[in-house]
Amino acid sequence: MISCLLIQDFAASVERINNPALQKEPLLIVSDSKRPKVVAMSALPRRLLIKTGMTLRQAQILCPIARVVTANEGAYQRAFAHLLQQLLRFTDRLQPEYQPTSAAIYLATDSERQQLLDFVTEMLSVGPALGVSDKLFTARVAAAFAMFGGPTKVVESGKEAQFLATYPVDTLPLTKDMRRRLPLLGIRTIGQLAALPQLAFWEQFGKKQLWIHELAQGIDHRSIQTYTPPMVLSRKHTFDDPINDYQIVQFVLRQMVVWLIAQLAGREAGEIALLLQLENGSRLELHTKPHLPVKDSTFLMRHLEALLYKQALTDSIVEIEVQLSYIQQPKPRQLSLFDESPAVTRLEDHLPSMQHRHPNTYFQRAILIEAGPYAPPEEQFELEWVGA
Amino acid sequence: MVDSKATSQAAAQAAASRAALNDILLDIQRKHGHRTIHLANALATDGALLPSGVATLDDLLGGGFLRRKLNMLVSQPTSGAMSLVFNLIANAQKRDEVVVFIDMQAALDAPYAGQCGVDLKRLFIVTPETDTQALELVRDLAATNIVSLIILDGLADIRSLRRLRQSIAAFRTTLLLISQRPAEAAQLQLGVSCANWLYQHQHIIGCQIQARLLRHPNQASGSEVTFPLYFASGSDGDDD
Repeated sequence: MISCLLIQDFAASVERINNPALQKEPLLIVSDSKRPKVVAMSALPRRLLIKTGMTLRQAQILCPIARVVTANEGAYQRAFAHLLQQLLRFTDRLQPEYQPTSAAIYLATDSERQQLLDFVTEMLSVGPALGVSDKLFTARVAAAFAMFGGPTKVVESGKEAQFLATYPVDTLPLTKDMRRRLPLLGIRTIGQLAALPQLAFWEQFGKKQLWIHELAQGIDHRSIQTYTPPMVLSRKHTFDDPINDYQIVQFVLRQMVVWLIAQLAGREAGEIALLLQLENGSRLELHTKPHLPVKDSTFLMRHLEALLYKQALTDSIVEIEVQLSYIQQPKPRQLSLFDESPAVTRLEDHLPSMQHRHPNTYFQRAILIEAGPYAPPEEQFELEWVGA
Repeated sequence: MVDSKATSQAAAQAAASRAALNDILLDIQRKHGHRTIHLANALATDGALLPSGVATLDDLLGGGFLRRKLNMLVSQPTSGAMSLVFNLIANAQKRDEVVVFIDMQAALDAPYAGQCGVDLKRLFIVTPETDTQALELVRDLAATNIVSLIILDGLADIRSLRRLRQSIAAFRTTLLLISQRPAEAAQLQLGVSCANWLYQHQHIIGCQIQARLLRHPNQASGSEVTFPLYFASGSDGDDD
């Protein structure tokens, strides 16, 4: 059996843990830009129909009493990684699905349900929902159901199609084209879609989308793989006395950099974090994603210095920590005696780090597809992701 | 005999000083970043221009669009600018150069690009959500030193381009911006308009493009040329 743990308003609960003063306040979490947009929210603004992507002004009209917090994406992702790390005590077969609005975790276990719920409630101070089923997709829908009906919803084996039948067809992971065409064909629920003959579905939407028809019938072949936590290299130094001399901090940083690069042992890191504990009790977290992976000490030191000087320190430093994350092996390349690999391939090698640096931007390729003679240009091709 | 000995000594000294200079440059680049210092000839050589593929236009531009610079096509819709861009991409791909198309409005007509000779399998398409993301992406793509041509179509705020000039100056990338209004920051500005349509059996098969040099660091501004550009088969000319 598969359990899907659904944590609604994940970012808001992280903000509340980091700042207990926000505990009972409705929260609007907005992007750090000139025209802030809502990226996440707490329960009350969600009930007042505030959606992600709304401008702050629009959101404040709907919920004027909400406290506005600037999003700290790094902190949310670290909290999520920490939660996954802790959940490994239940099972090592985990599959994360992170979004600031709602985070879902699939676990290949159905025992210890109550312990699991209690554990997450204690960690995040919010009550998660749990959906249990034999199939991944049904477990996810059951978890969303449990969010309103009660903390746990179990779908018995063999009754997946029956459970899904009444849900709107939009619940399925439809393509844009299917989302437009299915209502035109009069299909509004998953049950109606499941009742269609497979051949008819194939003819309408092609072989590639057949798996959606199978999902509607409660058939889901996807399984949960063993989860390997992302590796993080960290080095911490605690000063005997609080320090406000940049030269001493630089000297310590240089020593830490030498150690970290030695530990990297030829691998590459995609993200650098500098954590400073100040004498007044506050903690500064500075992050950067360099445009090239970190693999040598000069490059790392330059970025750490830039981080350090960017921030005006208000007090002396008590403790300093450097973290390297998103560590991966450099991609092996076929050595050639005669010519270099084509430039297109070399750019594809850069795409994972580019993707890490620009998480909402995707590199795509246009693939021409067969369409009718009168189809508009936008229906004559599909965009296919390149790289990750 | 004495002369040849003296010559070889001078050559050895020159080689040693070149090596020392190289070491100093590397040291400075390592310490302060790779964009801080480079030899001028490194910028001047290695194909400083990107040919457009249209001989008349290349003559006007003094050989082609400028690498390491911010180039701009100023055009109105249906002026033939997109056909010109697809020709430019196809020509760059023929030379095995990597092209990235940043499509801010998600309005790229891929079938027509394919008809113009663009190899769609080798064209990377990116659709960032904001102008800031697009500009950061341009910076990072240029820094890979692999991408030769970046087309940036549909940027809303063209005032923020000035900072890009310095970022791309150190790399051999050509940045071509397509806009309806000229931007102060662009080092090369080319105005493109459709002078008249070309007909065959009452069907539009192309247009006579009028290209006017609005700004160029080395060429006289104001000069203009006119050349025919035939649309790819299957296009009725409205796709631009």
